[in-house]
Amino acid sequence: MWTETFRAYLLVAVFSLVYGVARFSSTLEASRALNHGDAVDPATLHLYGEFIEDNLGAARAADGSVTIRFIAQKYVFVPACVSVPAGAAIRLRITAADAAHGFKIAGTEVKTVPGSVTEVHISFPAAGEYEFHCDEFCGPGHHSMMGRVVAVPEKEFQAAGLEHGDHGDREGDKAACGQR
Amino acid sequence: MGIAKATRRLVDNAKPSSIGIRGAVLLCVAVVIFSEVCGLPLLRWSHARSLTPAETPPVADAPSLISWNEATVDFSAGGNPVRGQFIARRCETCHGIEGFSSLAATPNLAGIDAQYLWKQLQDFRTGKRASGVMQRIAAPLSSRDEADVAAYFSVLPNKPDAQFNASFPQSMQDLSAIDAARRMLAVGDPNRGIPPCQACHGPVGYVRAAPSLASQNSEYIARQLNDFASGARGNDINLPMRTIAGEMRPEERKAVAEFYGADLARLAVGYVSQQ
Repeated sequence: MWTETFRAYLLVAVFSLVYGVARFSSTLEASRALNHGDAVDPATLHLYGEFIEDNLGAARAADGSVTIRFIAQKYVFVPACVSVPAGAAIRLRITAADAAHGFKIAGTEVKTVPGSVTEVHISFPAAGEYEFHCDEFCGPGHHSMMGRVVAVPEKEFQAAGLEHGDHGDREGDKAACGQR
Repeated sequence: MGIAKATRRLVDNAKPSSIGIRGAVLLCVAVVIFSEVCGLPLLRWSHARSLTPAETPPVADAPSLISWNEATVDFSAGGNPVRGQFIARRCETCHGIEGFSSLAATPNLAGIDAQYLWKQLQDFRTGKRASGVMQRIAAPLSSRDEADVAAYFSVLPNKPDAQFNASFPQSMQDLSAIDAARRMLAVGDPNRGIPPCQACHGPVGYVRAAPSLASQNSEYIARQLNDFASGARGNDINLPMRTIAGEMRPEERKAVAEFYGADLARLAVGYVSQQ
């Protein structure tokens, strides 16, 4: 009799501990991510915050670091093509506007969902074109969802006038990517 | 030992203890409910705290002032078509009596998604989509008027009456482009990141506020594609059409537009394809 009661309580205790630790840590992790500005409202990406049109694409901050910002949506990556300096350490920030999307670029797997920002740190060692395809089924146009990063030599990136994140026109990207 | 005896012993041994297996399971469920009840508000609270407050003004060059949240989705889809019919009287000079225009560069509105029409009227009114005529016409409308007139056009049948209007035979001028256009509609070009038109504009799939193109004027489509590509029209939220039209070659834009127009012409004269 005693052992059975003990077993029942043990079951509850172990379950509560495991479940409680998992739930607590995931909640803590999520709220910490949210408090660090990694939450966005997918409905108002175009109105406020870091994913407004002028911020998309590659931008170089005052300290010299390069950040690429993308929006993944049915069925295009915006911008569809971005030029970056080859070899530089790059911070890629991406969010989704409507559904889960994902891709693999330069050996790094990226997944993104509406409501939060995915950040990865990558670099493109050699100059050239890096294609990426959506690998998270997102609907009937999924097979065509593709983007490109064109890594150009550091000098050309600077010469293309992309330094200050002024991407209203993104002339440098157009020059590097071209019409296909 | 007989089987009956052994079974009885097993049953006796499994007599419920003070809480029993059922009690233990119930306690586990209670733990789950407790953590969910405590965890969700915490997450929601930090999420709400981290988002942009509603009173922040939108950026000056936003593509559109509309954002699709629960309120705007419900509002734009809940117009009154009967009231909209009266407002639509001032549309018919250009957009046709049953929503089919006899002017080539003016869009047909019959059967177009109400949310799309509502958003376009809002964008004309707020100056986010440029048009000399439409900006003036939309200026006096209220948001309610726009939802009603959008509802009216959205319930009109999107196939023209065969005997109704003979003025839109829009044949496909370049027959050699039919195959390319059809491929663009159905598969797009995966190698260049161009999704198929049908994945968003129907009938294969729809996304929010993408208009149906099935019975649209070819000249209107061609003009919009070119405007998206050049940036002259930029009211698509998060740039999907500017990106896609920009990736398409000029001859592809023309072929796709003519293909949709030819589809309309075929519907209009009741022509049955030989295939």
